Amino acid sequence: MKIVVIGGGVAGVCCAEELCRLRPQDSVALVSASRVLKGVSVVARLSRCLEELALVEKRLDELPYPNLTLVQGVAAGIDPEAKTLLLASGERLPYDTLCICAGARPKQLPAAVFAADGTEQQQQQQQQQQQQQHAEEAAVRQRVLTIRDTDSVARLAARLPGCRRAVVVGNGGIALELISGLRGVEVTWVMRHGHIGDAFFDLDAAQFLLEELQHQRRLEAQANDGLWEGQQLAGEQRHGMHCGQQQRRQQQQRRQQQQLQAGALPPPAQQQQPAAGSPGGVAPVLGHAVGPRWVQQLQAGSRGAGDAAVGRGGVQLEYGVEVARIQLMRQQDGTAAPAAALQQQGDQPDGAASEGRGSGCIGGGGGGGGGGALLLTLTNGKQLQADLVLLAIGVTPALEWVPPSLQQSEDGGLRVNRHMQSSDPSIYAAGDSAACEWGGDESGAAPHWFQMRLWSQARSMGVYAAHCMAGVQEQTGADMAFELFTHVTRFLGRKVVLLGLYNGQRLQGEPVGDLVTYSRVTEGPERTFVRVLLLRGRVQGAVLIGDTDLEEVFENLIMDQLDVGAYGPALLDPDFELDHVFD
Amino acid sequence: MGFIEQLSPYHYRVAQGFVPGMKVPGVFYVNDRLKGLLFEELQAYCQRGEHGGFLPAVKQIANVAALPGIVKKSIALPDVHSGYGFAIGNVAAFDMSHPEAVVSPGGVGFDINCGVRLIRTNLTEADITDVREQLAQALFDHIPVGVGSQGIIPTTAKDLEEALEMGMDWSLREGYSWAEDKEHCEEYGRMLNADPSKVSARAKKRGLPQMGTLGAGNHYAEIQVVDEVFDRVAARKMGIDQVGQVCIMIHSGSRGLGHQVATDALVAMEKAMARDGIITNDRQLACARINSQEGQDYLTAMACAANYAWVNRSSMTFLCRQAFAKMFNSTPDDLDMHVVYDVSHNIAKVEEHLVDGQLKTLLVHRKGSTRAFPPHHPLIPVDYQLTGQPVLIGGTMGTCSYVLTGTEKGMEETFGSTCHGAGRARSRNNSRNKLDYQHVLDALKTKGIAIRVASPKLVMEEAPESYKDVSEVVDTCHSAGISKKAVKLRPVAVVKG
Repeated sequence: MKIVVIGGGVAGVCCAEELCRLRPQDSVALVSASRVLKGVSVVARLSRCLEELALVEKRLDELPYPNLTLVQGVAAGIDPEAKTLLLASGERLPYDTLCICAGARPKQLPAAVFAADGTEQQQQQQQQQQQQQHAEEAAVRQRVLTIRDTDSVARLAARLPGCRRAVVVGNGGIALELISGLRGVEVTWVMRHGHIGDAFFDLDAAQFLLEELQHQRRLEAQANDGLWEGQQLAGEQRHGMHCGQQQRRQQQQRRQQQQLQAGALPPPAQQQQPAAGSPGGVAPVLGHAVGPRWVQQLQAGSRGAGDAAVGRGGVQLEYGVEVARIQLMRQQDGTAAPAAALQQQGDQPDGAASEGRGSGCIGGGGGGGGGGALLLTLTNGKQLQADLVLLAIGVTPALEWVPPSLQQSEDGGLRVNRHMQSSDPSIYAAGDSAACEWGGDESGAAPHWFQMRLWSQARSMGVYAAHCMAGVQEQTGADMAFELFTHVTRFLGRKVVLLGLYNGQRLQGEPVGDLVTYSRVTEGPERTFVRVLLLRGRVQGAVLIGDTDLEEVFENLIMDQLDVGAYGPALLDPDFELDHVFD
Repeated sequence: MGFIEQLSPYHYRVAQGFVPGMKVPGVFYVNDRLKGLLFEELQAYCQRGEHGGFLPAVKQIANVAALPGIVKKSIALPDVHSGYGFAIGNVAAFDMSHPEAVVSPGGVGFDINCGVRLIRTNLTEADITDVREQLAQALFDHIPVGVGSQGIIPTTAKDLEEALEMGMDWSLREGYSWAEDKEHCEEYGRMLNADPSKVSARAKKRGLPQMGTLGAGNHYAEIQVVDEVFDRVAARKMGIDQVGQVCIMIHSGSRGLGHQVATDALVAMEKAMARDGIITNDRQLACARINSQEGQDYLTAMACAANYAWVNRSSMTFLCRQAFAKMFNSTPDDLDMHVVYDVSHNIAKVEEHLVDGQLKTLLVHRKGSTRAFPPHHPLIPVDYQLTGQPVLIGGTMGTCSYVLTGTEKGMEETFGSTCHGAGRARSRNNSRNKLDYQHVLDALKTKGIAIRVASPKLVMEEAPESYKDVSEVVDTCHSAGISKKAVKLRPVAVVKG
């Protein structure tokens, strides 16, 4: 049997590793565009379905399986008739079964946002002007980073030391983590929703987190140092006895950093240029999704650069707006306010930064400072200044190269059945490439699970797809991962656990009187937030922020579907230890 | 209140009539400091009226005393607190020869055969001081991380079936446990009436990925050192008589599998109750006659879950031994890493007890309570015949733990049972634990559904004495004579799943 797995991200690597383990007699080929693979190394189990993942990056040749071959290349097409995968290099890989874990690419702002001011310049059709426009646009794009993959994080880390004001656009998981990771920088957070973290939270949870954010920033301002590391402090404040976990994390970080420094950090110049140079803005080669804990790299980066003169680190929020336009700041009087920032940035041994200075010089005939800070115009007319704009406005599956004969769902993913098979039975899909539409369907399968393009799901899908491809899914119970939606992340150093239909997903059709939600906030050494959602007395979902120690009991209650309606709001009474009651 | 009478400084009786239908009295063992919590809880309940919320433990004890077939008394141990149906820390025995006697999943708990295991070493605190963190790390790294990944103990559906049937005999066969380990477990680590076909597919599915995993919540593995020896003879028998000696305590159970077995049984029994006309004071006390199909099915499935829990603790024992051997460049044998004992504190068992001078076969439900058989009892291992059965009391994570021994008095008074842990830790954050309930009417993201939001109405008492300390609990058991203190252990590192 020839098995081919496409994608060097979490889903692809987990899938390939499982296949190698389960099918030692078959040959497994892993196709990856990048030399650096992403694997899951240490997984802390919080409860049965809930895991805290730590990602490690591995070199393409590090995986220790004799039956694994690694192909560095970009998938360009599939010939389903001939069961052959076509690579951009022209190479053809025959397969018996294929698993597509091609990941997703970040959404970009529409090109119109970057267009230099059209009205003023329309009459002047001179070549030079156009060139300048182009150069200006390039200069703007230099300061607009799309955060999605490991490369972009490395680039961001290199840029931060010179940055005083940043604008973060987006409201998903990456934006959330970005906000808590950006320390010592004046941040404006632009989102089109009415409250923070819309992808994850309702208003109440968002409100709780926002209070935490403001509180932490106030403390930071008091600390007056700009480098107060809330995350690490939170770690240290925890009981000393958790040293095992803590140390593991630190080691993990260290390892990651070492690896980054050793190989992955300075991305080759040719990888940078297309992203910056082509107005379309889509790099042909995708890096992998950043994975959890990536913000720590940022802190390490800014500390390493030894910057002292940084802003106070406040966060301002702009709700319900989008970015309409991004321009270079026009210097009326020729003073170059942000030049210092740029200078510093230019000193970095980073391809992108030095190129940025270069292009600034070419196009900067009019502007005094060789390219200045950016001016953002929001859809509500408000204008913001920034040295750097960070985009994290979601992703779409990267599947343009897949033949249309494979059914795709509305979200752009490949439609897969309960066994991760696409409409072609020899082609499977996992991770961001897959669209699992079987969560909560009529058959009653997985009533508390739904798909969200998360690293944790990429991993379990990769593993599960491998088990299905090997035909052992009945034996291993890997499909348990799809019984219950679970996600754990960290925001502002707080553990955030999302369980089941925590936001009432799919419960639209239920009578109002049957649904009830309870929430509580406890003050203490650490504030915690808990909200549960019950349908006819049975727990459907929960949001837990902070160390509540309730994840396992709620997981069990959702799985059990035991009627706990009789308890009423006392379910969340902190005096009743729910984990004991259901022990 | 008129129904409650103090019998000694350490125990109280709840007379029949306190709740309707009590067949026997209730008895609870608390000292003066612990009784406050119980009475306050009861008072608060009476004040707020009889609806909603959690039932106070005293009420639950009395409701259990009203179940058909119960003998002698419904017993509450010092660490008692409100649970599902039965209070945690409740012992209730039912007469097997009584045709109407019942078995109730609520009397066992959800985490079936949750228990504590203590493993000794010949290391001393000085040996581990420098490597404490690495040791915790090593334990952490050795705990398998489940689904698919190359867990140290990979399991398939077939393995699970066998483990459910064989308990620790499976662990022994697979090389995860030592032959002498099972000698030091209740039931020799295997309940013989286990039949995996009585365990639902869903329960198995939930159990499969969790084999050999620790769990979260109040489950943990702790590296401890002997802090104080109270009973030198008993401690020497157990091989833990050196102050400063390093031990490992594992607290874990049957995880999601046990939960599903309990839930399945509760559903089945609700139907059986309607059929057989069984009436209880609390809907959570779902039960079935022991000799009914539902009753037998539950006991069989419970035995499987119990076996699963023993396999689980054995797997973790194996992992701890590996980790220690690696860390100290030795072998588990040379480190003398024997299982001191393994207790089950969520289980129902068929036992022989003297009731009014007559030997009777009883089904003893122990929920959050530990069996504590006296010296010379035939069901305890040979090496403990003179000292009595070791009883392991795990404190709330991070507080100290105890080893006790069973006594004759406990056999007479509490069906050979004693406490299981620290009990209820009220208001961990003390009075700083201010509550702030938010109303969320139109905020939910799922537009189009309005969700009814209710806020708990609670009076936050500022209790000065808000922590039920494990030492207080153990001292009460010791003073009441239902078990005897042997060794106190102090944690030096905690590993939590």
